[in-house]
Amino acid sequence: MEQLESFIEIKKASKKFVTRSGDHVTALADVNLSIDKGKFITLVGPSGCGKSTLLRMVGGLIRRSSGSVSIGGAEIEAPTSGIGMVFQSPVLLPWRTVRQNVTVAADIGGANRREVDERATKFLDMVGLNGFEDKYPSELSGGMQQRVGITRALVHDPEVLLMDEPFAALDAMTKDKLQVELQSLWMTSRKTVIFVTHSIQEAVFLADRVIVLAPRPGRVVDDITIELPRPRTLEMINSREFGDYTSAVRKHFEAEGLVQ
Amino acid sequence: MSEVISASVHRKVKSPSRFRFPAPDIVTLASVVVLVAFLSAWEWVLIPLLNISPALLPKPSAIAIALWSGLFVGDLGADILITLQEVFLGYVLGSAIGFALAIPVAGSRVAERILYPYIVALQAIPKVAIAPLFVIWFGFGMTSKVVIVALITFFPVFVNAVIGLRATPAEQDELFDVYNASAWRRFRYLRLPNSAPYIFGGLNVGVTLSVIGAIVAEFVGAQEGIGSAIIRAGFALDTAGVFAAIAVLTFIAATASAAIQAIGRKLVFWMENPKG
Repeated sequence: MEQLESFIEIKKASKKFVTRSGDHVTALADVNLSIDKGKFITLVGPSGCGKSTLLRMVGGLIRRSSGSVSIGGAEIEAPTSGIGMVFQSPVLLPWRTVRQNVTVAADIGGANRREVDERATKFLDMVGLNGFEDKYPSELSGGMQQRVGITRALVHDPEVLLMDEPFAALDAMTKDKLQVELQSLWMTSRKTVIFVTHSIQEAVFLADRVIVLAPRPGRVVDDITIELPRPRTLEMINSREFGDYTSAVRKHFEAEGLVQ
Repeated sequence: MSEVISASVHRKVKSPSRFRFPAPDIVTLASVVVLVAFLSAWEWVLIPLLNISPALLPKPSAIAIALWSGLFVGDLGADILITLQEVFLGYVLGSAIGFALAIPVAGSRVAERILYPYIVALQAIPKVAIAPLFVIWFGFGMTSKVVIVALITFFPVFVNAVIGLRATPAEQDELFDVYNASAWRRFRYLRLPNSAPYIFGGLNVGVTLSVIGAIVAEFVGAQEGIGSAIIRAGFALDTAGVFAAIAVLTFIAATASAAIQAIGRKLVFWMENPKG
């Protein structure tokens, strides 16, 4: 790209709302963020720091109070087909089989049925769900359900993948496994990923850049580039460099704890 | 590890596409034994011991004979067909209207505030009390019965459909937001399947009510139907005939309810039990 603008540009984006008791809350205050195409970004912060709000703003799911958000030069006002979203719970429709869940975009989003079917077969294979296509969600473990959720988000070939704490509800071992799988999926597809988490270790392990957010009001307090080589392995978590990165993130939360 | 878990989970989950009759177990056997014991006690102990007149309480064997002769000699077969038609037509009509009205009420607060008070008021009127009106308006024939059955079936289906159409989890709605789904697709692919367990709950309540409705309507004014057969047998002091008609009614209501539940289990295969 020749232009100076980055792929995703967030400029002075704010979200204010009024609670039922009449209090004015600033969920997000003047966030500026530029994200290059194909990068893996993690947003990390304690609850109430507005990381999910920021993610949904990029997806066009939440109206911003002020500022601008653009993807590829186009201002985001509503969800577009360029977005894939993975939620904290897999949000699978229990009456649809794995394959029918994965290809739901063809039914409800107007995506091309044939292309979606082809990509579904490819991605289901990649995440090890071949042979499970005709099973129903209730027949799968939590980890496999979330794999279906990830595959569904990729199947209409979006440019941006938004992930809202997708592994938070999983057990530790499944979580480790899925982090490694997500990394290899990303390395082959090279989507731009924004991944929200409250786990510092997860944020460092996955990211090219960790964006640290703090609450009241929600704001960016640090932007750390992770220069660990890829593919990263779970053993690297015990390395000195990895530890340096996690403590660099953690010190912000400790500082925040002192402020309160 | 997760694969191992899912494999064992899979074995426990029944295949949704196949319906199998349960093997006769000890509980089924016990309930049959209870029935046989009850009928035997009635036939050979209660009646002879207390010397009860057959005009008050006939023996089960007399009821069986009355049922047999009613079906193959008398008009009971024709009466059953009439009542079945009334129940079927009224049930389908009432359920369809209940579901159709639930769509605007569930979808819009304005429609709810306009329609709901009238619907609740309608439900508050005892149907038995207004049944004579329907006979005056629609005559002694089948129409008045169908209307009353429809009126009785309508409410449980309506109320359950409203709850069901609103039962979509917020996160599923957000998923559909991501795809910019149209209102129609949201209804077709999200609201409708989420409401199905509730609707079948309503349909199941409605099916037993619809049989009651048909009989009440026939009591008020009819020349044919099971309700009318009960009245005729009563006037003739044919107590065994009354019991035979009641046995038929019980069988119809139980069979219809079982059929609706079986269809519900098949269509709403992802739920353990239909709600309602």
